[in-house]
Amino acid sequence: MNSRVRLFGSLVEIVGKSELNVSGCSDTQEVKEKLASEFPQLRKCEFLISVDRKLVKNNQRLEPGNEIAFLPPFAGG
Amino acid sequence: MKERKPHKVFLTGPITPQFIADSIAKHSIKTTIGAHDIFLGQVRRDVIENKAVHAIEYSAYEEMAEEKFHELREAAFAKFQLTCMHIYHSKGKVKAGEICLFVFVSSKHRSSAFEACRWIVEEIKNNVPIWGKEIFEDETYVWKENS
Repeated sequence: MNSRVRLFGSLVEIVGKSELNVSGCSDTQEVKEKLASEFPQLRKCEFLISVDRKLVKNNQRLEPGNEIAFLPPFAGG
Repeated sequence: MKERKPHKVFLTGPITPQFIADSIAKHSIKTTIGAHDIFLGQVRRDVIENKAVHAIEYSAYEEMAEEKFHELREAAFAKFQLTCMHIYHSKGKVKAGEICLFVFVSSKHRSSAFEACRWIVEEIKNNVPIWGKEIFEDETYVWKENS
């Protein structure tokens, strides 16, 4: 299964783009591990994960078409 | 509870004093209102490692942020006795001294307006996916962290 992953804020600079596709992952933990092995600097970063614009508390199983996002600490206002 | 339609929150660039004044003026026809409270966030010229912040460039996960703002509106109307509320947040570049956040709540009496305004600002800071790059005069930058 292909998953679309969007990145924001400082994470865009680490990965080098704001969006990528990840294949072969069935849950958010696997996506996180896969990207962290490709971009080791991600392991040092604090971020939350959302699936379809809802924050994931622990690990979440993925369905086809889910939009995953990696969100660094919010800094609005 | 009545479902309110989502409002547009993001404005490109700074929120101008004229925009704020016009927003206040539009409420003169709503004569059940007895109290307004307004919060304005302004970009600070912080000095970080001997360099002064010249501007903040805001970005957001806009689709999620718009959903969060909508949920926040619904929650605020459920929690406080409000007549109306408006939230505007900048995206893109806002220079030091300019306004980047405008929260405007109106109620019959002052206590609801005071309480709601503070609650909404804290919710925005903690729960809405917005980020800011603090840009220095020499175009280098650091990512803003909320305190």
